Amino acid sequence: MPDNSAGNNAMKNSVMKNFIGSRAMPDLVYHSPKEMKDLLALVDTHGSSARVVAGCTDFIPSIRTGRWCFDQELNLIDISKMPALNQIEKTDDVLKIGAGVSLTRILASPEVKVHCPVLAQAVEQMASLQVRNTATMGGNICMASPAADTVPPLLVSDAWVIIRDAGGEHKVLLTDFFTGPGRSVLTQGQVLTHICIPVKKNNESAWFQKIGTRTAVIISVVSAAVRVSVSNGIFETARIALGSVAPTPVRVAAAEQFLEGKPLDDQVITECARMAAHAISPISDLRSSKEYRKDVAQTLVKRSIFACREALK
Amino acid sequence: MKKREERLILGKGQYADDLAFFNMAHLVFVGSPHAHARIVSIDTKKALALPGVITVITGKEVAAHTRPLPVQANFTSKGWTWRLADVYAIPADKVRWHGEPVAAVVAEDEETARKAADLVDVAYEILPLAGDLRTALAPGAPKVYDDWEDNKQVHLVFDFGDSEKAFAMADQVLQVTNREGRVTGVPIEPRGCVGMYDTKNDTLEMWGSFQTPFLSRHNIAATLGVPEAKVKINAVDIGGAFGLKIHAWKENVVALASKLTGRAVKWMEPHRDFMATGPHQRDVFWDGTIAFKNDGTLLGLKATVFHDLGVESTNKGIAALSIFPACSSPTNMYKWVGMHVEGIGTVTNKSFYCAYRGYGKDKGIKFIEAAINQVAKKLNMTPEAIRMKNFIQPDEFPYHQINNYVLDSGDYPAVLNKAMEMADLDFYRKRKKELTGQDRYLGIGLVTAIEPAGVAVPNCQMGGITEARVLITPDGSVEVHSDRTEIGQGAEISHATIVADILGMDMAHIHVKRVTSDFIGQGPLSSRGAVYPASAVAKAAKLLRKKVVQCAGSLMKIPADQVVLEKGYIYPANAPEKKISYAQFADKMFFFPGPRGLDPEILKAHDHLLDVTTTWYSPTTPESGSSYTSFCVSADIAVVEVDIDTGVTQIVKYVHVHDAGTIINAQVVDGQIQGGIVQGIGEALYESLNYDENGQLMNTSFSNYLIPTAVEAPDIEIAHLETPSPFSETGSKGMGEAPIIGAKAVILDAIEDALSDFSIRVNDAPATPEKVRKWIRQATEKKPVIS
Repeated sequence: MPDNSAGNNAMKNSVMKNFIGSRAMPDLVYHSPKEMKDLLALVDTHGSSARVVAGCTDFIPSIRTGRWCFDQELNLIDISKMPALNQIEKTDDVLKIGAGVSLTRILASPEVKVHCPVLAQAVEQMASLQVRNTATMGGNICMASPAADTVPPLLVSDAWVIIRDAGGEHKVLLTDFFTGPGRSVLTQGQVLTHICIPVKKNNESAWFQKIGTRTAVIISVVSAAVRVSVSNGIFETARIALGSVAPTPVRVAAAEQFLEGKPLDDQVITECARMAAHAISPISDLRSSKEYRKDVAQTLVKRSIFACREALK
Repeated sequence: MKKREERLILGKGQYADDLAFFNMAHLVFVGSPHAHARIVSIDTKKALALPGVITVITGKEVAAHTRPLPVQANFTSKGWTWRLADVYAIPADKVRWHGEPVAAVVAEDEETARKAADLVDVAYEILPLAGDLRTALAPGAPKVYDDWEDNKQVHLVFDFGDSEKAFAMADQVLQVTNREGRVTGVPIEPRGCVGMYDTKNDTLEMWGSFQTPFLSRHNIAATLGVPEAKVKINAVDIGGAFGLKIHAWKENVVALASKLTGRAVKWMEPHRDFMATGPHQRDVFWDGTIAFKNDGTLLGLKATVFHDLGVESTNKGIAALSIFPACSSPTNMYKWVGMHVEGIGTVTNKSFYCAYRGYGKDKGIKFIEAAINQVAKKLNMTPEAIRMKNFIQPDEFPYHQINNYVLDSGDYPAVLNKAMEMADLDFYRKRKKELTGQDRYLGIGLVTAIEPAGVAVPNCQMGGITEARVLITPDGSVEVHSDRTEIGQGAEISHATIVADILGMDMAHIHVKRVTSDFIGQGPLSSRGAVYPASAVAKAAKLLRKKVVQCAGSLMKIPADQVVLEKGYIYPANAPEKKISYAQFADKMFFFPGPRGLDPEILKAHDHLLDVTTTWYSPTTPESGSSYTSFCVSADIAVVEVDIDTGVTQIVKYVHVHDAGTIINAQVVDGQIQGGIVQGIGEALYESLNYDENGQLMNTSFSNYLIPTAVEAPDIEIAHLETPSPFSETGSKGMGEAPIIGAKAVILDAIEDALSDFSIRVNDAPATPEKVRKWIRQATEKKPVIS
């Protein structure tokens, strides 16, 4: 999957010399490896002149709008046709999703529905059908957008990713994956191959909610995911993650800790949501002001916890 | 003819981007990254060195080979402020908005042209900015046009009736302000065309998304300095126009490129170009005071409407003119004593102002509807009661309004009553009360409007010209020509229906031809399709019918009143078995007309040539000065629920009742209503073009310029009344714009009603979730509401 680090030589930051409505594609050499060893060889050979892609739903607009510019010939390595990266498997207590699996397939997967429904809930609200048919969760993660809608559900599910390079396979917790907007721990020569999610337990419930300026096909102004486990009328564990409120999707530890061990009261939930909003320092941008983000983050967290509590009744 | 949608659904449409010609080159525009800057130098060497690049056209070439863009509306003589600018399609001296073209690259293929576009080196000297209306109007503001005294392009002053008397009669007055954000229409297909200059004959032919080929020909020929008679413009399938494709200016550069290279040259505009360098609308602020009596009688208005035009709006677009209807339309459908309305248009460093569904008529109506609902609240009246009190009544037509509009017909109370019945107003009002205690906020909006439709304004290119030709060919099929371009509004099916009905033929034999500049007319704009071109076509068909009846009577040796035209056959009323088909009839008329068949007088007059070309002009405009001929009537009622914690508005119910006179084709009318309402909802809730402090347009894609999707579109319940217009040939009225007007106004009114507990004035569109939430927070924190 693509490495968006600013240090990449092949990619210049968007210095708009001229306004051009749709910019030319760079000269492309297309590769479609089938086997992992071929993929790793390609990544190794082409180094900074290579980009790993799957659905291309971010790649093409980034080129056309001039967000990404490439001076030299670009090697496009398409992993979407690799059988090994195109499966959804359940092994023991883990759901393992290949980086090349489309969002539509995730949405249609009975395993995802049963073992990580909160992910399906998020994917259902993402983009349009046409985009979901080709976009992948691997791409959504690797683009490292603070507004990536699959990420908050994965963060609250304690998911990790598998990264491959010449040195072998590495497991990285998703909480440790993002380093900034468009940036992650992925380095040159590395490819994200799988996303692993611990399956949902019986006393658990999770919920995702997002708000955009419009309902459908919209980039989140704020997104929130919550997962709680309950025993004997007490919140046993809590995970709360927010998107679009920080340079990366984040978990709000203070609010999580506050909730754990507390009864399922309205007051507790309201206070927890207040703490979550208090913990974040979003920015103002074209989509929203920081004030609205903080304001609505509180509402979304509150409603998500209420929804979890309702589901566990 | 085949139904248009069948062809389009099967993928057989031929849009601008489908055009392909032998040896065709491609053109890409290079835009300025700055909003206001002097062009110091342009270096095209690197671009020209790229293999496949044919030429690069800059402002210098444009100035050397073309004339300035023609002025499309000129009111300099009336004692008003009306400034004109000398502008070219590409400037040589300075750029005035972010994205303005500074060069055009022509290459063998589009990707090469795009690559070369980035290789054009332009040196700029950045100038201070007149980035918005307030800055542009301030004393000493940077001037957008150096030779103007200031940035005011237009200042119009209107006195309708006696406003002083109205205010003297008033028990109360109320100040009302209203702001509409900057928007654009979003056709599925941006603009595009192919220009082919024939260097042997010095003629130019173009094909593309031209909404008004006849006007485009005039403007393109004028800039190129080619006689108009040597230019032909052809409209192809058009993926939406909404007024946004009336003008031609980038097209002029395509024509020049073809002339300079001797090649067919294609240009297809990307959506980002369309947003950043295309036509914009709205961006107005109203400040007015309405006068009324304690019993709800409306008396008068004193108001000023400020327009942020962007760059000049008389050459690229033609929307400085839209300030006229903006000032006239507040009269809407009510009786008044007098109004004093001023319209100000200011140039700023933004993209230009152009026609977009509504064209100013919308602005006055939206403002007055909001104002009337405020008056109703103040007087503790329902919105329907105040309207019923002030409506012009069914027996008062034609009604000479104080602004010179001659209102043709209608039953305003009946339209509103029907809408209230469908909307189940009492139920929702009760429901609103019930829910308030449960922390849920329901709001009901109610708005009524008449849309001035079918325009003819002197002193500009919208003077009302129109022409139509209907002919029966030798095989009995029928050709229909007019200026009514098919832009998705159902022009073809409407014309076919009219002609088939009049001639007694099956629609399968009626062929509505693609619009070209060969026929005179200003095209479909300002809802004139069902008024001007439809009337011209109907008139031509009626004249043709007369010829058919005369000839058939002579042929069958029966009196003309005994000739029946039905289902494609012609027969004597008392002998249907003697029927002949139109094909047999036409064959005889064209090739075997006489001398023993037809009356010699017919032959001498050549009346058997089954071809009629005619024109049509409004019966009311010449004497009254009413710039519109028909006024369709509509009532919109919307029920919304606002989530006060997020500011999100949900539309629960939407009712639209419409009276556009005689309906030619119900599906066409419903289509206009559905589309217009959804566009209006977009303006009310989402759409806003925002420029940053450097004059950069921030939303140039659909991820941040939000239009409603199918998910946001409500189920729209529609009903029709049919009160024919006495002034059009068919009894039908123009109606393309009413839905966008009522929809925007009614959604904002409904949100205001939903937030009635907070006493919030919803007068700043769009009412985005963030804005609504801000209003609620300000209201609950008991701070003054700033909008």
